[in-house]
Amino acid sequence: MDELPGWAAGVDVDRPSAARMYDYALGGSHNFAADREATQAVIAAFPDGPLVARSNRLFLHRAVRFLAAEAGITQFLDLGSGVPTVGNVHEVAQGVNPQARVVYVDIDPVAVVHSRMLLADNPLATVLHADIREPASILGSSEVTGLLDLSRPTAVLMVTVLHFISDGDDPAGIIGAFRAATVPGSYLAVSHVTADERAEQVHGAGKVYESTPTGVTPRSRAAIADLLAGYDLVEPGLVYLPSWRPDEKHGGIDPLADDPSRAVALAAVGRR
Amino acid sequence: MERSLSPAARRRGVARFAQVWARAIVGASYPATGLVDVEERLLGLTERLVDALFGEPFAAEPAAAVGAVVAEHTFAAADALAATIRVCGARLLAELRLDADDELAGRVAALQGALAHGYTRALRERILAGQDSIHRAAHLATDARFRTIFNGAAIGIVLADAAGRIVDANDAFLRMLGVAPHRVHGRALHEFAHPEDAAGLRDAHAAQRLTGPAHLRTELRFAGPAGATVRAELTTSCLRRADGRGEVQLSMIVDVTERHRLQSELRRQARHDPLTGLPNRTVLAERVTELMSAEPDRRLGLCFIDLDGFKAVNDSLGHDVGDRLLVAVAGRLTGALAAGQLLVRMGGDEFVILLADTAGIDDVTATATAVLAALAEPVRVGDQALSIGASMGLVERPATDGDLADLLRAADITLYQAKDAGRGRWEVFDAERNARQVTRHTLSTMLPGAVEQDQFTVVYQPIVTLGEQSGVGGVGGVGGVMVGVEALVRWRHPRFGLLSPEAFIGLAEETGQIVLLGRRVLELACRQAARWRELCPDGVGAPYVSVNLTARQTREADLVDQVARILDETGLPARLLQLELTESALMSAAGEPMRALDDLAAMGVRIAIDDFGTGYSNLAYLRRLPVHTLKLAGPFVDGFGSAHQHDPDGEKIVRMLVELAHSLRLTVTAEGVETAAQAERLRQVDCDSAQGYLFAPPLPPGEITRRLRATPVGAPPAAPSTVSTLPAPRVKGAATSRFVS
Ligand SMILES: C[S@@+](CC[C@H](N)C(=O)[O-])C[C@H]1O[C@@H](n2cnc3c(N)ncnc32)[C@H](O)[C@@H]1O
Repeated sequence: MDELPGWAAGVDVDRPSAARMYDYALGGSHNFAADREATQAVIAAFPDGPLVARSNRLFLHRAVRFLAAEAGITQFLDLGSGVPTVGNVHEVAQGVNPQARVVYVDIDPVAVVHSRMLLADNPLATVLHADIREPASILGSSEVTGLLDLSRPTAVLMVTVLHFISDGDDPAGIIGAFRAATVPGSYLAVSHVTADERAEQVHGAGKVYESTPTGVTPRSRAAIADLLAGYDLVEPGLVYLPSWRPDEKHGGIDPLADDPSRAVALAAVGRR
Repeated sequence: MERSLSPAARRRGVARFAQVWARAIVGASYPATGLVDVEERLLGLTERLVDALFGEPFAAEPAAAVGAVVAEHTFAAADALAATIRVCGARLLAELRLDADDELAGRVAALQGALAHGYTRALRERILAGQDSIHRAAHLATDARFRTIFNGAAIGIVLADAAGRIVDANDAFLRMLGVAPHRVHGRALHEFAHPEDAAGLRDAHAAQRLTGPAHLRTELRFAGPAGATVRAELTTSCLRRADGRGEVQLSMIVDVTERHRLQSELRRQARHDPLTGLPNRTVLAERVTELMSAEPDRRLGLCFIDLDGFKAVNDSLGHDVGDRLLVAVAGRLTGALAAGQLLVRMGGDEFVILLADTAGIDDVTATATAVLAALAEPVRVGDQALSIGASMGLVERPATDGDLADLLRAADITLYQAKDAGRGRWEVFDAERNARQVTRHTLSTMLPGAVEQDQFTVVYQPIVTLGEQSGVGGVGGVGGVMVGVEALVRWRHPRFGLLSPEAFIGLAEETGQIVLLGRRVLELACRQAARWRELCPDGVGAPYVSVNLTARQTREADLVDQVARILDETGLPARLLQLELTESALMSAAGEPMRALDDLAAMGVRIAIDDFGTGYSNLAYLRRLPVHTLKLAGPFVDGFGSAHQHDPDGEKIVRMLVELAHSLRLTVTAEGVETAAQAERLRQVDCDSAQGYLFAPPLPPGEITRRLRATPVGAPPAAPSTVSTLPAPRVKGAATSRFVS
């Protein structure tokens, strides 16, 4: 990516955006024709796409619930938060603890504005338009410093976002920067696309993303595990999405539960 | 319809159905919450469905509301609806442990229909709302982006409505003018312009809204923060409605104040001495040129100042002290200036004071006195008191005498005379002394080169009519019609400046250089006269040119050929050339009239006798010579003086001379006319034409051109009455050219 400021990249409703494609895959209506067309192309290459999206969203749901209810986390920094839909992080977290605070961060201007509209009345949640490749500008922003107290344990969420960061943009360095900014007892939740299995389908789907502002870089289990260095992974460790602490009662029924590797993404939650 | 269903059985049945339904929905869609919550919510909905199922009379509508709630709480909507319809059909009666008779099956089907209807309606609303909000978000994001660009822009941007009222202005504009946003909204852009530019901008903008142009580009001043003036480049674009009227005016304003400041600073630097801040040579040159090109009767004075003892200060105390001394002296000199005087630093320790419209040399000496007085007190530089004096060269003269270089040269020569005479004093330029200093020897060695290098220029003194009506409209009877000009040569000497003919003509005559020089002058004068003639339609009113010939020139064997060739080359009609000879030049060494004159006269060239009355004035030869004009020498004219110093005898002589000349069909031109009284008396004795400072000094050719252009075309060269009394074609041009003015 070049050095253009975010606003210069512009808002182009005629260009598919990863955020809105994800919304469409989940069944949402917050998307434009270009997003739907691109999503259909993804589905053509990879018919499980919508199910993976749902599976991922259920993992996010369970992870936040785990962090709020079991790990006692009250502060969330959601990086690559996307277009708000149902079961958003602040809804899940505040459902467990009404005092939970959430800062959403996304690079997609429409997703950010939409989030802002939705959160207008919620004093404990806010949204920041930023690029996670610039951790310092996020950590130093008034949104983060105003709402979160980083001297207390904080959960950093990087759910279905790290594969939008190419190796050249140093994902390990980015994670390291957020890790360094948080105190021990903080958590990191990650889900990440992998092509370890069904490589052809995953790469086929990845091609479609080349027309979006964010390309896709699937990584191997080992590479993803390396990115999590410095975190102690909670049970069950780094697993396919449906296998991470399934919880039908609170988290819904994962459509890929019977064959977790169809989810083509690995998930983990680690403690610093 | 009555069914045997105990409350407990119904409760159990409802709970069972809700569980099955929840699993079906949750598995098929992405719900907001987990199974537990969904089941809980579906429990209530199932109650409502069962109520409807057993309702008497039966109504399916309540199921529509149930469908709406389901739609609201599920996400992958189509899947959830399919699951719901399927579960209702397959499991509702079964979980209630009821047999599906026709009637019940019909009711279930009706409920399914209503449920689907309610679900779909709610879903449609939700999708539309979702589209609305994402479009709105995209719009806001685009808006935010443009606002970022708008406010991040380095140039001022202002948007005005169809009435020219500002609806939006960006940060750059507000910063540029130092105003708050609320002071801008609803007002017009011109209200912020500099008072002198406001009306113009208002009108231009109003016109643009009505008729165009689409883009307006101008440079103007705005009233900036704290009374400052902001110079700006303004581009206003007008967006039009279908009816052609301006709808929106978009103005872009670029602050060019700094650029202007730099430019004027550069301009100032080019015109000012950086050390003292005084104007420099360039400014002096401009001012002098200005004075020179003004009306000819303006005068100017120059005081050329050189500090005494400055070099000693510089050498002993260093450049720094020297520089500070110069700054201090500049301050003193500025203090000594009178209104309208210009002080210039020429470089080093030389300064010049220029005086415009001087009455005489006294004005300049008064300035010199003031300069000496200003420097009388020692000048303090740091803790030193430095005594500094000045030597000065003063010049005072008509502004049109020579150019700036001549003026400075004269002042400079005089300055050195002052230095030689002992410093701390001034000298006044003395033209004669200057001329004397220019030794014959140096000049004679330089003369040949000067002819080659074309160091000679020719100036022209108008010859005007004196006839009855000639004075009408002129100041004191001065405005006679210009019938001719006398060509007068000047030597623009690189070292001695502008030399008048006295200084070199005699020399040229002795050394023989006069031949080349004379030919050159004749060429220049004829070419110039030919140009003037072209200015006059059909040559009517074209002035003749009168060129002086020395004795030596008249004796040149090829004189006639030369004149013929020059006339041919320049295209000047012979009648517009007059040759002026002194009485002595008219005669050969043997006392015979020059043969060449006859040939020249035969060609049509006019012959004038110069300085008539100063030689032997052998009237007898006038009859035998092909002479057309007599030029009366200065002494005769002097005698005409004013009313108070009337010289009746002199007047009688002139009257007789004029009568004699007219009887011989000669015209008479009086030279050296300086007063209106002289002109009047000359007119009374019937003298035909005259020249002198009263009418005009010798002028550069451009000035003659200007006068010709200013004269109404076709103005008669002389008064008709005079013409009728004289048979000779004197109107056509007598030529009077002399090397001596
Ligand atoms: C697939 S969505 C994930 C949304 C949410 N985290 C979830 O898992 O449900 C990925 C999001 O990451 C955002 N994203 C991609 N690259 C990003 C970057 N460099 N900085 C910030 N956000 C980015 C995209 O705009 C998109 O909204």
